[in-house]
Amino acid sequence: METKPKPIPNPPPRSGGRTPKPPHLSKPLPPPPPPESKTAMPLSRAGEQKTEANALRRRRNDVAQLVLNFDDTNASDPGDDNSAIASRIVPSTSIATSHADPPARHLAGKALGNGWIVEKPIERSVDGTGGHFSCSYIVRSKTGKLAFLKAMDYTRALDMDDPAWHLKIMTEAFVAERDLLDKCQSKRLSRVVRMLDSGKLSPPRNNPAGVVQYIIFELASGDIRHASQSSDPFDVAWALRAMHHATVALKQLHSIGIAHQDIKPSNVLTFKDNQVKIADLGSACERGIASRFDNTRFPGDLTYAPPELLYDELSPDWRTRRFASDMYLLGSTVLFLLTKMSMTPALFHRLAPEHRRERWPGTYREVLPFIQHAFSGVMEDVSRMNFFGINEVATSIAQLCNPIPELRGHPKDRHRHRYSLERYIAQFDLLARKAEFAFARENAT
Amino acid sequence: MIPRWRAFDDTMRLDELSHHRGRSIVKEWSRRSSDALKSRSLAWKAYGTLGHATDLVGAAFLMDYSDAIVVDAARFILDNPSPDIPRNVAWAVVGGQGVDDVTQTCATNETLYARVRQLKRRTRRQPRDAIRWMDLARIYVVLGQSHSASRCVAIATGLAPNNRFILRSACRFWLRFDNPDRAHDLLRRAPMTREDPWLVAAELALADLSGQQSRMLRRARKMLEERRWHPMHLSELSAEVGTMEANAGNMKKAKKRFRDAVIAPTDNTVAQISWLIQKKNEQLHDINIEMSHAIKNAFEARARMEYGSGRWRKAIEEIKKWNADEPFARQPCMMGSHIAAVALEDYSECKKLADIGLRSNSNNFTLLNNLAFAYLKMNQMAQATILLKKIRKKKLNEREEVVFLATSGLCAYRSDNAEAGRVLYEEAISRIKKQIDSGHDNDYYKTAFALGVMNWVAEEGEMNMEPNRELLARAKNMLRHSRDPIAAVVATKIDHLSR
Repeated sequence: METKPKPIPNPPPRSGGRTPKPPHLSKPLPPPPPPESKTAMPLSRAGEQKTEANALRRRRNDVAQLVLNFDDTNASDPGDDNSAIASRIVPSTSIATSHADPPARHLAGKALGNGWIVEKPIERSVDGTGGHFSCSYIVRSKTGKLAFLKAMDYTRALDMDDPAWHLKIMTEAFVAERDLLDKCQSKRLSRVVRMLDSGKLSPPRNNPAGVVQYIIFELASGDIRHASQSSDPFDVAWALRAMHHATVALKQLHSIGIAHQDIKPSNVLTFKDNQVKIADLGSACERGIASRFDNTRFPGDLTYAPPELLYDELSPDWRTRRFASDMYLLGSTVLFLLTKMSMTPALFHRLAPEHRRERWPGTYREVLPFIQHAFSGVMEDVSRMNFFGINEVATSIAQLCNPIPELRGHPKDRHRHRYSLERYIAQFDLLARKAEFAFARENAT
Repeated sequence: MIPRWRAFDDTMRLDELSHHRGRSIVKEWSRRSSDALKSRSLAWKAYGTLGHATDLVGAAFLMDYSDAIVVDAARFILDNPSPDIPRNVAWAVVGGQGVDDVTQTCATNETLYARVRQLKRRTRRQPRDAIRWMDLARIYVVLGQSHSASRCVAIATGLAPNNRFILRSACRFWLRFDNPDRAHDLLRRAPMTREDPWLVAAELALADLSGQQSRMLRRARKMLEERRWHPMHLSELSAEVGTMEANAGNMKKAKKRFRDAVIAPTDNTVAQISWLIQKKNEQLHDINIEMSHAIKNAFEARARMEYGSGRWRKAIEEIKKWNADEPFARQPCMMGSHIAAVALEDYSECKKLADIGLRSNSNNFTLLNNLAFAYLKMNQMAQATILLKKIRKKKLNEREEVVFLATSGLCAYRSDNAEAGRVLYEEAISRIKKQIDSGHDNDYYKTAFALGVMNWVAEEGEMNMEPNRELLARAKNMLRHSRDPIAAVVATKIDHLSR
């Protein structure tokens, strides 16, 4: 399930919106983003005219048929054509008509009972992927603090052909995510987006299935896709600091045995004061605890997936399968901060069409020499870039995204501290400090 | 069927590295990924930043999907300052060609050394890239640095011991240094050899060259009978099995294999068949390889066809292309310098081709001899003498020794020492005659006899001596049944000298 708090978008400048800047740098911060989503979807209110309700119902059915998008397909292998899953996600129109007004869609203006007041809804599916089984809102606390609320829409499960199965998946996903967030909270993980509250709204009497469970997260100002790409010292310092923060976040998760599995630009959120945190534990797995993703090749977004998983090579070792994937995703995110392109498309662009996953009938080890060659080409492009500390950053990307999962990470950590991120944290921190210092000095002069 | 060894990019362009089991779509992207793409389209439309554009274009490229929104995002990337990587991907999405490295045909030593520097730097940064190691080895071979090349080949085969490109290139490398046993051993040990028809074809050829019995022949026949693979994957195997059948005298079976081989032939297949047709013309004349003009990089086959038709200038053109394709190979330069010297009497062309060949094959007798011959004909005695001294006489076989004697005779004539020249030519001619009488490789010695006599009589003519018509008549007689197209040219020249 989608678990990421939806960021409020920055104003959309065509030439690249600048994300919040480091507070310790003398450059003034951009004006705070408007708390209102530019593309907020107007929702119907309870008690609307019958014709409007019918129109909404029709629209919702259309959406269900066209989009067919929900993260619960993760429970099977998302890379394969799974006809059983496909048949489950076709909505049953006969049931759909009975849940035209899901309570989760009508929370605007409601008080949640623990001091939170729901302000307004946020458009689904603009940022991030999936999440069509939940609704998102901006909420305000008693102290006036804004936050992000994700409300589960269980009635959508009842619209499906196999409601019991979908309900099971949704509740499992919600519980798993909440438990992981709880664990992160109790371990004080500072770089993972915090869960501020969770709870439920009692169902109306005439609709017992309309119970609404929700999680409230801290509110982000955007994600790293909003950052501009330039060799400006300010942007360089910001990008290096973002690399550092993302690496710390992943290290924090790994230190408590959690593999994120879905690190991608839309899940690396920016907050005020130049903070970067990781969101969306919806695809995360915890070591030693059975999860719905245990039999899944890759729970996250396949278009960012490491190459070995795209070619169906699954390591029997949990750490290699999950932590090594996370390291690749981190390296890919670092590459995105540097070039605005993730590793997987960059890698496959360098690969001949007959060696890409769609056309390669052989194993990953058979295609590996070609992948290595393509990877070497990408790294050559990276090392040619004009960027502060490019050699160190390029080396880090090359180690994090190594096409051989067993070899990911720093070579010196390969035996005793396999998949350790400590050296990258130190490296990115040092580079970020140097860049910030250089920027501050430049401004002073 | 000796595998070709080209740079990786060139081999890719010739489509020789697709998986032998299939070329069609085997995996689709999931519906969830398609939905993710839709979400990114919405995000791009909502925010319009470079980050959202690249996020969308990257996913669309991976999924081979394009629509107006994706193209709009790709154009946005191209129209705004952005790094090379997203620009290249965006360029591919809008339908342009990728900005990949292009392997240059390295003609000069400067460009070759520049390429070596570049590849060394890359292998230092990415030491696990076996393909780069093999490309580096190839350039070392072109530059004649066999030890460095050997190290690179060892690393490449260690990193990717099951890859078709690496294995075939390594085999060609070992063959280049006259070590077919090692090449055969490499293929025999690779597990992939049992499954890949390209490697089976190479294994059969190498077993033949190293004088060993191949264990793959039954498997090869089975592969050909099953026809489970695309004809292009079986082309070299069909040609190799066909060659074996032809050598064993089973011409009917050989023809069947050759017909299969030319359904979707590679340049190597066409070269092999055209060579065999040249050799066994009367039995294989009905195999159609006219299509070689439509086959990429079929330079060798075209050169042989032009040679067979006596179109010498065209043959030289194709030979130059063949040399650019395989710059370390001695065969094209040997053939080209021979044509230039004998058929065209274009000694500067002969010098050029021999020089190119000597860069990678500095001790090759034929190239040294042809170059010395060209210098002698151009009266550049000093260079010719240096070259003749460079030839390692102790390593020459009988065929080479007689040629060396004749060239030394020419050198003596041109150094105004006609007496020594006469003695050397006489010895050469008598030894050739002895070989012809004993029946060894008659075609070769008969042509050598005619060429030796022709050159000797020409030099005597330069000294204003009467031509030895009896010897000339015998030389012409030797060429009567020759299948070598150059024999007709030599015969005409002999006629001219007789007059």
